[in-house]
Amino acid sequence: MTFMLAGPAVYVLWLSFTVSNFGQNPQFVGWQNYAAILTDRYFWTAAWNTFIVVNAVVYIELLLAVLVALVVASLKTGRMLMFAVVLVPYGISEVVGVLSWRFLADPSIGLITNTLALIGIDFNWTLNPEAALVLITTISIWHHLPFSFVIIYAAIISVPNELYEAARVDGATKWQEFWLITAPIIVPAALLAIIFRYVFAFRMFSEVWLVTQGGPIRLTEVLGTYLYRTGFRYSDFGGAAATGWLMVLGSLLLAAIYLRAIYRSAFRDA
Amino acid sequence: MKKSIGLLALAASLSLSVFAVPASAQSINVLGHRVHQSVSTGESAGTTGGDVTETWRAENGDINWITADVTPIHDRLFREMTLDAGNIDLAFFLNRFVSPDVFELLEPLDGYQAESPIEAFDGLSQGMRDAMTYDGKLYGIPFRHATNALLYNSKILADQGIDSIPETFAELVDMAIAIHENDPEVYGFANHSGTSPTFILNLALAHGVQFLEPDYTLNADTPEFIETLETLKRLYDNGGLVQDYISGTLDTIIADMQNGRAALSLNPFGRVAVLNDAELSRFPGDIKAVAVPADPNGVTPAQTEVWYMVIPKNSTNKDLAWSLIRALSSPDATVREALNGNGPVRPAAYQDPRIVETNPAAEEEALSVESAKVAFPGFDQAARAQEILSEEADAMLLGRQTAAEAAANMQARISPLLPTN
Repeated sequence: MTFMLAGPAVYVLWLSFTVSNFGQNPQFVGWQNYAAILTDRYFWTAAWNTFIVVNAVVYIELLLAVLVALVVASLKTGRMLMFAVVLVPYGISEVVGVLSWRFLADPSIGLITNTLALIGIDFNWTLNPEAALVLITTISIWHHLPFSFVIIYAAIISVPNELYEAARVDGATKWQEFWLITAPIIVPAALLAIIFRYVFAFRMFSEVWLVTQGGPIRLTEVLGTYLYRTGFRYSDFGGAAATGWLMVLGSLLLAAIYLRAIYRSAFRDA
Repeated sequence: MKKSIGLLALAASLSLSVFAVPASAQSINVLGHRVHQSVSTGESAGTTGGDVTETWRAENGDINWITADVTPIHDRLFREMTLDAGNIDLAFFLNRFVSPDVFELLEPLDGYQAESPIEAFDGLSQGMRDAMTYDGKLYGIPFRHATNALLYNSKILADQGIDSIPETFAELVDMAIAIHENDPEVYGFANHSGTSPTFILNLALAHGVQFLEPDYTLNADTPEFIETLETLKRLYDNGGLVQDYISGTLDTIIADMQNGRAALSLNPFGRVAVLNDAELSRFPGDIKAVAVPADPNGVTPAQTEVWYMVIPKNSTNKDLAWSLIRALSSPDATVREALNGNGPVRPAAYQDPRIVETNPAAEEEALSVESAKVAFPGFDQAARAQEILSEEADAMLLGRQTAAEAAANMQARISPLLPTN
């Protein structure tokens, strides 16, 4: 088991210190690949876009997940039906979902683009990188919302009803019920959702590749597409492996911050 | 219980039957673009060459076509070829992906040719064969050339009172802009940037300069190429070029031409068939092809790319693959494939009565092929270099830099990638 997990990682680490392509055996080059990547302006564009998009996706998605979970949990009837409806995007193939969004947002004939044009908004994401990143963020949130929703929903329905009853007896408002009872109890679950979504979103690929391929002029590139382009467009396996390891280090750094927060929250009163 | 056991038995017998397929059934896995399949099998509407593979299949077995877009084809092929035993027996390979490292993964074909020769082998374009010869060995048999023509919508031009195609490329640029001025719904050229910047490369030839010469001399910072970029910008800013040029794909080009959103395109001669497809096009029969108008020196600035049939070194079906290559390369097969929309790699095909009768542009095409240049020679870093060319040109179109700055950036970024001989 250890070999299955560590073997490929060690191989990719070794590959990151070599230069090779299709038909050329790896040759050791030391830190050359890392130096080339860290001095490549497109890497930093990709890193910055990843930072922006990942944070937007994770926090907007979490906020939406909490809102939707609260609404579904409060339903007296049709709760299971709504639960199923919210899960639908996760049941759709990622490629099909992304391409459907791309079609809806087509600059010439897309329903979304034309509707926005009616109210005076020019949403030509093929020429405007910021608009493209908004579209990519929206698609990612739409597709992964069910994941965060399920975690948050499970935490919300686990809150003992007696706590709410006692709060009502004390005259608490709905907002106070949420802020003083629900929120503290769902924080560990929310942190868990954040960690997972950070790690998943950090590897974001299909939303970008299928919509913009990182364009225009690589201004919507994220680290996942940067890695793919380096490895499979340019056949630069050493560079792609080095990018992969830099992504692993980035993910670990982010996860460490949140794991520490969970640890402190779990053992605060111990 | 009995019912469950019966169902299990049925499922088991069905799964076992999968293994009962006769072992003698032969088949071959062919990786290529959809167009290679359609010109070989004659399945496109309106073509008259018929199924060129029919006899071969009757004698040898099925062809499993695996088709994809240009870059994914080569991506898949390269990955397959690094395995001990690959799943691809025969592949279609584009000249711009050639490099010394790739030749190491391909099967030399001289031995097959000596043992079981292709009919009238010398009739295959010598220049195209030379481009796939490395270290004295032949690694690919030319199958299709994609030589650029000027494709134009004769109805749109006639409606706008334009009754002739300009003699020079400079006049053509003015005409492309005038088309949009006459009707804002219609753009001049339908072309796109993308991973293969063929439009810019062809534009450069039309300005009298080859962006990258066969000896890897890079001409990005020459006055002629800077002028090329300025022309591109002028076209883009004035409707002489479709507005989705930067994000477009081959599909959007075809759709733009079929729907009349654009009136002109620099694209291979062979694309005329699909643009005139009565089931898909609003202008069946109205889209015509002529040689690209002359450059400042009076030369036809035609750019070409060549597809080859290659056998991966790790193919497990090499004899069968060679047999199919022979079937698809004979003089008659070349003509029939041309009738199905292929660019014939035998110059003599253009004199064949069947081609002369059905292809009004046969003479123009033959002339273009004669002067055509491979605008981007292959090398290890060719894909990266082509993307740099597109990126810098697109940045200029989006107003982020001038033509001179774009040209200087191209020269600085591409030069270190070139082979140093």
